[in-house]
Amino acid sequence: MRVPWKFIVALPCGLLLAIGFFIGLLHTQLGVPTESSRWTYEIIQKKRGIADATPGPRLIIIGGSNGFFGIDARVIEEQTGVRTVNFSNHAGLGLDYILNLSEKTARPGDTILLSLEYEFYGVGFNRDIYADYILSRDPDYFRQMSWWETINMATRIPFTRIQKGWRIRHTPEKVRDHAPYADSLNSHGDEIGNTVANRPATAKDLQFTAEPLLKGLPSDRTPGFASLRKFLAWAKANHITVLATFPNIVYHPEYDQPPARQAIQTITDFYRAEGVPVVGTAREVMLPVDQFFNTYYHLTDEAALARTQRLVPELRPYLPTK
Amino acid sequence: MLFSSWNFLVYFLPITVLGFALIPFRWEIARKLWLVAASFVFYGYWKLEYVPLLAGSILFNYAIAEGMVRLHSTRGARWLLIAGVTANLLLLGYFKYTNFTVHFFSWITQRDLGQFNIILPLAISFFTFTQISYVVDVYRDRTVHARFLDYGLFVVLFPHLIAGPIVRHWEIIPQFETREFRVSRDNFGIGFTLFMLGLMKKYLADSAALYADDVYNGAVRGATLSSFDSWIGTVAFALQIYFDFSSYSDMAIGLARMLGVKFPYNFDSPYKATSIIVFWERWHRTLTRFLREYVYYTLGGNRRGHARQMVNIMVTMLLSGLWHGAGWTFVIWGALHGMFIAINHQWRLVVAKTKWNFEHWIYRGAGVVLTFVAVSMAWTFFRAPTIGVAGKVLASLVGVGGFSFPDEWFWHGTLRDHLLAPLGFQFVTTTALNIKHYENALGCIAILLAICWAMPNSQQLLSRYHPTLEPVTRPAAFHLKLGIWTGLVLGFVGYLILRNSFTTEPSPFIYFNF
Repeated sequence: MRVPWKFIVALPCGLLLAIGFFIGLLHTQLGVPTESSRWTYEIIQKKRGIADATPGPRLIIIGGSNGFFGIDARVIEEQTGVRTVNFSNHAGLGLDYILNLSEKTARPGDTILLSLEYEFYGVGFNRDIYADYILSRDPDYFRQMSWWETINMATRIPFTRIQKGWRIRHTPEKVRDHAPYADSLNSHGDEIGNTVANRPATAKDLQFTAEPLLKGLPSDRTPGFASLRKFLAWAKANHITVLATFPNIVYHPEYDQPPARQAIQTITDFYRAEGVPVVGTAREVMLPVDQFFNTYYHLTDEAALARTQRLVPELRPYLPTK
Repeated sequence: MLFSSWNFLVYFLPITVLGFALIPFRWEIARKLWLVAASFVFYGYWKLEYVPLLAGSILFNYAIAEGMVRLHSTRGARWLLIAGVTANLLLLGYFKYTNFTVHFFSWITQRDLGQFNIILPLAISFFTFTQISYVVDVYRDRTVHARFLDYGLFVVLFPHLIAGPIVRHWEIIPQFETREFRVSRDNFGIGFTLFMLGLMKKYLADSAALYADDVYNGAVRGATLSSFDSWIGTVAFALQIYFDFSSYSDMAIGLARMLGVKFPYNFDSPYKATSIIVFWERWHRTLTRFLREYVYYTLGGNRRGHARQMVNIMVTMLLSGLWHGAGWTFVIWGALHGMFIAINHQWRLVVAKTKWNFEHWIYRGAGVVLTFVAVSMAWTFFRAPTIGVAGKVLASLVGVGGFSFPDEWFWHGTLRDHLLAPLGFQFVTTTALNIKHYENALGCIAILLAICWAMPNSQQLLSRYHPTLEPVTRPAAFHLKLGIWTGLVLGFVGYLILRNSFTTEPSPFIYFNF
C-alpha cells in the first residue's frame, strides 16, 4: 500500500495547527499577572521612574544583577558629579529585553555603561523568567514580537507556566506584602541592604560557574553579540556613548585556563572592533567568594563600594565634563 | 546526540534527510558520502576523540575481510579471521572489561589494585559485533565482497550505529544499490510514522522510570522497602526497559526507512510471549540472532546431545549478560535467563512426551504471566547497581520474612486491620521512598501493561506498508491508515515532542550504556 500525498501534506499542517494552538493559549493569558514576575516588574517600574526623573546627561548602568548589586551609582555620582542611574535588571529577562528597556530609557547625550554577565555573550540564560514576565507584565512587547519570536516563545515556554497562567486567569494569586529586591532600592536604583552581616548562611548559587568562561566563546557570532551589534548601532544613531566593563563574578581557578582567556579576549576584541571603550579588566573583578552575597554575580554592599571606588578613576576619562 | 533531543530533531535530522534527498540519485558516491559524513557528525557530537577509533575499527575490519578475500589459502584466511576477531574482542575488552577484571582480581587477592580511567566509547559493543559478523561471514563465504564506501556506510549508518538493531551486511548493503535507496514519499511517510511512534513510546518509558527509580534509589539509600513497593519498582522497570528499547528500535527503523533503508525488526511484542524461549525470539531479535548464529551454533547448538545443548545455552546467555554490561549483576542476569531457557526446553520435552495440550487460552495466558514475572524478576539484576541491592529488592519482592504493604498507603484502617493483618500481611513504613502516589504508579503500570498486552506493535500497526525487512508474521486486526487525520495528529504530536525536547533535558536510552 502506498503512502498518499495527503498524509505528507497533513504532517506540516498538524504541526502548524499545534503551533497556532499554543500561540492561542499564550494570547488567552496575556496581562494575567503572576506573583513570580511581580518583583521584577516593581524593580523596572521604580528604576524607570528614577531614570525619567533624572535630568541628563546621565550615566546609565545597564546589565543583569551583577550591575544591580555590584556597581554603586550613588558613589559614582558623588565622585564624578555625573548624574548616574543604576538601570541594571534581572538577568533572567534576557539581553534583548534588557537592551530594549534601555532604548526606551536612554536619551541623546547619555552615556551607557554595559556590565553584562558572561552568559549574555553566549546563548544566554534560561528563558522561563523572560516568558513569565512578558506574558504577565508586558503584553505589548509580546504583541510586537516577530512571528518567529512568537513561535519561539510558544515552543520554549514550559507547559507548567501555561497551566499556571490559565489557573491564575480564573483564580488570581494572593499578592504578597513584600517584593524582594524592589523594596530595597536607593534613589539611584542601587540594591542596598546586602551587607556581609545580612549574608545568608548558605547559598548554593555561589558555587555556580559561568559557562562561557569554562567552555570559551566560539566566536563573536553568537545571538548575544548580534543583539549587541544592533544595540550599538542604535546608540550611535541616537548620539549615546557606550562603555563596557566586565561583570563581578566569583573567582574559580578554571577562569585562568585557555577557554576563559579566549572568551574574555573575544569580548574585548568585539568591543574594540565596535569602537566601545572597555573599562577595567575581567581579572580584576573576579573576586573571592567571601565578597559575594547570595549568587556568583551578587556582591555584598561592602564589596560593591570597593569595586565602584576602583572603577571611578577608570571611568572618569570617558564621562562628560560638567 | 539523542534521537529525542532538540539538536537532533531540529538540526541534524532535517539537514541530513534534506541533503540526501537533494543530491541527484545518479550521484551515487556523493549520496553515500553524505550519509557517512552525517553519521560521523552524529557520532562525533558525543565525543570527537572517539571518531578515529570508530574510523580505525572500520579500516581494520575491512582490511581483514579484504585480506581473506584475496588469500587463496583457507589456512591463511583462518589466521586472519582469528586475528580480526581477537583484535575486535580485545578492543571491546579493553574499553568495557578492564576495570571489571581489575576489580575481580582486587576481590580475589583482597588488595586494592585501583581503577583505570577508561571512558567506554559510545556504541562500541554494537559496532564491534556488526563488524565481527561481517568478518566471520566473509570467512565463511569469500565471494561476499563489499566496496569500502558501502561497508563504511553499512557500519556507521547513524540510525543503527549507537544501539542497534545489529544488522547484517547481506541485508543492508544490497539495498544501497536499489532504486528504493532514496527519500521517497513512501519511505519518508512510513519512516516518519515509525519514528513518531518511537518518540511517543519514549515518553511512556520515562513515566515508568519515575516509579522504578524511586524504588531502586530507595533501595540504594538503604530505605525500608515493602513487598508492594518492590513489585511496583520491578514491574515499572520491566515496562521502562521495554518501552525504552522498543522506542529506540522503532526510531532507528523509522530513521533508516526515511532514507530508504529497511531494517529487520527488533521487537515483536516480547511481553506477549507464552514462554521464555518465545520471549527471546521476540526481544532484541537481532542480538538473539547474532548470539544464536555466532556463539550458540559455533559451540555446537543442539547437535551434540541434550546435555551439551544446555551447556551451550548457559554459555551463550552468560556472554549475553556480559555483553550488556561489565558487572556481576549482568552475569547473574544472563545466568538466570540461561537457566530459564534450559528449564523451558525440559518442559517442552515433558509436554511433547505426555502430549498435553496447552493451547487453551487459559494456559496461554498463564504462560504469558509466568514469563513476564520471570523476566521482570531477572531484570532486577539488570537495574540494580549491585548484587546486594538486587537481593534486597528480590527478598522484599518474594516476601522473605512476610509479605508487606506500605503502611501509609492504607489511610483507611478497616481493610488493613480487619482483613489483611489477620491474613498475616505486614505493614511497614516506607517514608524513605518517594512514592507517595501509589494510585498514580498503579495506574501508570496498568496502562502500560494494557498497551503491552492488548495493543498491536508498531510493525503490526503499519503492516500494510511493509515497514521492515521481513513481512509481519502475525498481522493484527487493527492497522494504521496513513491519511489526512493520521498526518494531522502526527504533526500535532510532533510539535508537542519538539516542545518537550526544548523545555526538558531528554533522558538517555538505557541501551546507550551498552
